[in-house]
Amino acid sequence: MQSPDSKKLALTGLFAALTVSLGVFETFIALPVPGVRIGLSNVGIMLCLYIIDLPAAIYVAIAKSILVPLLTGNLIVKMSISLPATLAATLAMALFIFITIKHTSPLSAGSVGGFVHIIVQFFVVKNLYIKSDAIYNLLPYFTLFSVLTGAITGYITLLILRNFPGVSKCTSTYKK
Amino acid sequence: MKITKFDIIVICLLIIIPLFYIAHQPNGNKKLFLISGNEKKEIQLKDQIIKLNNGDVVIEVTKDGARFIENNCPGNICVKTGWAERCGQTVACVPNRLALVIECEKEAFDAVSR
Repeated sequence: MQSPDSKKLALTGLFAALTVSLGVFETFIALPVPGVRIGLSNVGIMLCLYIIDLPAAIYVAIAKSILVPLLTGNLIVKMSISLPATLAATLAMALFIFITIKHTSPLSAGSVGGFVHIIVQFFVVKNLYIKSDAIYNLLPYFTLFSVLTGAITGYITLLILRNFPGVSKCTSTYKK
Repeated sequence: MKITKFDIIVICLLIIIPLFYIAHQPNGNKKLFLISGNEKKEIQLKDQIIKLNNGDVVIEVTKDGARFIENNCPGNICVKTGWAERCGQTVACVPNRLALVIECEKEAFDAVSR
């Protein structure tokens, strides 16, 4: 018989694979603004938060921010920016979901994640790379984009949760 | 699971915050700055070509603004970004720790009526 733990482990691995492959895939999607990506890999992390639990989401977030730069190049710069931002966004989304689960859907959780993600990215860039407050001039524009793309990934997560009830059912054995 | 009113409120709030900052950019005299790492130096806004890092990075400056025309960084996002012309516009190259910034002084008056 399968124990709940092995199911959880398998599901975490599945979401990690999904997250990493979406992260690599989205580097091929060009958006009109240079340097901006949709953040599709956030879908995997949010599914983890909604279906499994926070530790699983953190494992997936770490795997994503190490493996995606490894596969797409420019390792050190991308990793140093991506790791703190992804972790902060994951924690912020977890907190947001924990507090407002009864009143919100993944749509707003995604945009909160995008918002925190971009702010932490700029904070890291300001402190490690371009040490000038002038870099914050760009922040409002990127925040706007980030909230919108976060809402898009949130909506995708919502659709997955709504249309594939089997995904959440398989964890019901251990979920409180 | 459905989209709720609260979702829309949260998203609107998160959109209003950056819009507020975008609307409050000062628009006085333009000044161009080149930031490299910790340094920040002013560049005169006149037609000129600036070469940095032994010619790996080339910056074009005109009287209106500036842009990167060549850069050896991966992705070349700064080159694709194009011109920095208006107040507050910034073109940044994170791997090379370079940025072009247009800064404007705050005008003493919002408007002058006669």
